[in-house]
Amino acid sequence: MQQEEEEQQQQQQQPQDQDDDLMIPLNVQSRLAEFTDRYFVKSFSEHQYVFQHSNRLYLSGINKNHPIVQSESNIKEIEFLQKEQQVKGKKKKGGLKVKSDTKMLKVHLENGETYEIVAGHDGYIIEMNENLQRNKQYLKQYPESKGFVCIIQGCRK
Amino acid sequence: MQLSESKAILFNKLYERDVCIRCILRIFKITEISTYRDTQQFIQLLFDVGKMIGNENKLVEEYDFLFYKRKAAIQECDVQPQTCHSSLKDQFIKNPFHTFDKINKCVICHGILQCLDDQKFIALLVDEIQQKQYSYEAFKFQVKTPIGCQIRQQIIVNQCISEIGQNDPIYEYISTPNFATDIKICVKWIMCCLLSESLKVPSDPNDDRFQICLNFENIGDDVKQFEQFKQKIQEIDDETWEEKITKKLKMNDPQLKAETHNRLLQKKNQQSQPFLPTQNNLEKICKLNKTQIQQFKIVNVNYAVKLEVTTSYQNIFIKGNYIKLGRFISQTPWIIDGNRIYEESIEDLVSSEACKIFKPSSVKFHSGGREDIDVRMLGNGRPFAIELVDPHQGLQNQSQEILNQIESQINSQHIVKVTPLSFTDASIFGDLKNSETNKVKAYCCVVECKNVVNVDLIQQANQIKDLIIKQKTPIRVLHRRTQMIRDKIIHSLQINQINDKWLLVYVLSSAGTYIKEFIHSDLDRTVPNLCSILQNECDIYQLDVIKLYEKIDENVIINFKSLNNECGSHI
Repeated sequence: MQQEEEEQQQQQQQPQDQDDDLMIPLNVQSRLAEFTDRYFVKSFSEHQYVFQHSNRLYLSGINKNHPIVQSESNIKEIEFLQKEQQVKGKKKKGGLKVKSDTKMLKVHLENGETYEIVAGHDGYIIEMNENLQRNKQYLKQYPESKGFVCIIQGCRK
Repeated sequence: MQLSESKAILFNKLYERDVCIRCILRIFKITEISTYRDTQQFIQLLFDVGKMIGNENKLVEEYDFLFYKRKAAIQECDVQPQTCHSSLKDQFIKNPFHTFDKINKCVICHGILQCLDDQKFIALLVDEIQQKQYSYEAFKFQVKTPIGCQIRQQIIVNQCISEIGQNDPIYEYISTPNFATDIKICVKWIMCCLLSESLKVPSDPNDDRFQICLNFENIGDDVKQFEQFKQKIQEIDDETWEEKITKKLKMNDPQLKAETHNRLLQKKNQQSQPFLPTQNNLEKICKLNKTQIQQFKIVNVNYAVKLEVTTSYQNIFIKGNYIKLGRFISQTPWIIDGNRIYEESIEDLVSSEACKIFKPSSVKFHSGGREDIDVRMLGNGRPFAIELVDPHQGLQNQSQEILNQIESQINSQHIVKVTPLSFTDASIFGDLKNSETNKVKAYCCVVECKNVVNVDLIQQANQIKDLIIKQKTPIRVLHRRTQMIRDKIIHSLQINQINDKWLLVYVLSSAGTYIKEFIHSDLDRTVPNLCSILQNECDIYQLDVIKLYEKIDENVIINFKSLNNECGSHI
């Protein structure tokens, strides 16, 4: 996997951003397994993962070894433990501040088991995965892609 | 000039106070240009004034031929002020006016109107202008003068008039704030002729192309002159503010009155800022009436006047359409820490030849939208414009032949090509913006599916018309763009199968659609997407922008469906 972090200082006259612009271009030569492999550096903990995008945003969720995924029972309900805060603007102000062990979701399986899922990385929540509200089983079927839990913006140094 | 006794008395007073003759003429609002230029006539004028006040030779005897005023002892210049407020600029490299530091300075203009005729000064100026190597056939002359001149003028006129002590209607006119001819106009009257003789081109105030600007500055002196007004102006400001607040609150309530009084005191106790020489503050001072002005004096400092000469030529715009035949070419140079990440950029390729010919100070690249680095731009091309800022050789090169030359030079490199170029003006920005937000675009991409494709679903997809998709800000740009949902329209799709897992997909969509995210769904943050339409997992490997259309209609869709033949792809 070739991932490089780059920053750009563009002097465009369009009302565009002057911030970091990081791009991994499409390259037929280096076909990689999946969309997530192309853009992210993956790191796994026991049951969860944090994928770091080349633009330093973090995608967080549960991994294949999590009991929810391993269990034969389907998901009955997903409870969002934190209040959803709307982020505004390019600098994403107003996001909920979390630590890597802040509890984000409580998942109830049909067989009665419950599991808590933590944020996975320090920072501010940019987005919780809204698809989980409509398609609960994504968390179980596609934990490492469509069933991600949240996107976190790292703290500025 | 029509002399009357009261005018002559005032003339004499001003002359005694060391005001130069050109400034006195300004104060009397003489608008005949020859009076200012014909310095030989000054002696006759002094003679006439002397006659009127009963002592013919008095003024003439004291006349200083070099400097158009009464002879006076030369005062040494002070050292440069260190105490200027940091917001005031202090950037001078050359100072052609420096040769006049130690002269018999006029109290009002500090030498500006006295030294313009000097041959050496003109030679220095002309030299500096010619060194910049512009080509021009006329020039427009601009001048800026120190703001303190008006203050000094007002103070000294009022002092002289009150010393005379007579109530003459002429004195009433003369002492109104903006009665006198402005010092800038005077400089223009004198300089335009002299400069146009030396530069051998006419001076034309209506010709905006080439501008010469003389910027006289005397910041140290201005700061000192304005400082003394600070308290008085602040008092007046506070009074008007209190009045306004009173009216606003319609105060009859003593409690409210006490509250505002407290607020006022609070304001006063705040850190008070220096009273800077700005246009706003100048206007406030001009509103003071005669009695209020009387308490102020001309602060006698002797900082040197500085002159900065700047020249500029009107920007030239060139427009056209570009196509990008290669990948890994950024639109503008992408530099991090001094290193270029990608060797080539469209801006460089397109504007390098124009820069060599026109020699601008800088160049700006504008385009109607942009594409990613790894995406080619084909077909009729994307509209763009380059703005040549301050082109030194703009005059003779504005011809179609030059544009053709530039075009063939760009096209010969076979990386970026342009359509026939043309000159334009600032209105191009509206067109470019319009193109970015309104044009419908056709794309072609190579897509791989995880599972064998379902032919029926492909046929269904090809029937799609005006599908509305909702795109959340893609993760790859989420760090620098606002998090929001954007509604876009997929007008049409044309999917051709390459083999059982690979597809060639043509997409016709509204402006601003993220095509990559439409194909691979960006973790289902773009819905609906190609994965959901084909019930498969898709990923995109190559993307090209094929064509730009003005707007969507039936013909566009027909043309779009046959793009495969037009492009000549062989599957």
